[in-house]
Amino acid sequence: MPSSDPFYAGLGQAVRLGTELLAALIVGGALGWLADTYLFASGPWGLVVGLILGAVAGVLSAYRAGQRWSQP
Amino acid sequence: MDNPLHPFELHNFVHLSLFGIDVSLNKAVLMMWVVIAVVAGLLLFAAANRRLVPSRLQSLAELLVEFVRGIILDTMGEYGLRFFPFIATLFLFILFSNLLGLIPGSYTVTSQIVVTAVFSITVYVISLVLGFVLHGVKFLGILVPPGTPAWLLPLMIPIELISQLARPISLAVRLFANMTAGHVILGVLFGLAIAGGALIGWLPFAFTIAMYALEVGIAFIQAYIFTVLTCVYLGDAVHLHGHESHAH
Repeated sequence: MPSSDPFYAGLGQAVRLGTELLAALIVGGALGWLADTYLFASGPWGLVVGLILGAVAGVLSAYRAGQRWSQP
Repeated sequence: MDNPLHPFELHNFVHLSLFGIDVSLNKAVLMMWVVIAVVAGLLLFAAANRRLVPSRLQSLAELLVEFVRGIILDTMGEYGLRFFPFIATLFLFILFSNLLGLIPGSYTVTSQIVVTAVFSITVYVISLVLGFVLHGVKFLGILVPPGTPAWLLPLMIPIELISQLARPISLAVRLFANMTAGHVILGVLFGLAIAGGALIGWLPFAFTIAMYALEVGIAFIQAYIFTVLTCVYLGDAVHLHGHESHAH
């Protein structure tokens, strides 16, 4: 399987995206929860903001992967 | 049926301790030694008597080396070739752990998140150190995507920070989850085949064989992804926004 084969490159990108969305969400939620628990006693708001930022980060990295993919 | 996660539990054969650190032997450690021995043996044997018209073993070794070299050139360019020994070692170790783990009765080292997390954290720390050595404090600019207006910075920096921290986690979890899930599915299907007996058991048995073929493909793909992403992360640290990996 030559690495220049576009099929493998495409398959690679496809397999990559699912975990990246999830990982960004987990990291965002974890950072928000840590801020809530140890930094400020800010109730659930750190977790909420963290999860939203995590979801945005995940979608952004998927968008960038798509951009990178479409370049010749 | 047994708990399908039971085969992933590790039990120590021998209890050893070195300066208070637990270094006991278990299945995973032995399997890692086997993988190292197989990879090293294969490559050393293939390189022992090199010929202009390569033997089969030599062409296999050349294929693997050319494959890794192609990935590095695609994602990092010429500069990346100085990381070739590290990246090739990582690729070969993961590939052969995945493949040898598919032999019934052996153990898949990469189905332990400890192993994959150590790999991914090592890769990430190397990319951070490389970035700070090459660019100094300017490397923090990786948190600011080019062309961001100033009023968006308070929003973009946390988002970029999260997506940076998500890199080692997604790298580790992807490999670990794919390997574990594949082996659980194989175990459950084969358990069904045995439980079904001769009358109906052939159906799950056929699925086991089909899944096994798929797992061989996944073993390759996952080793390939891990290597490509290693190169992409190192390449981001080297080029810093510039002409990032223009592969794919």
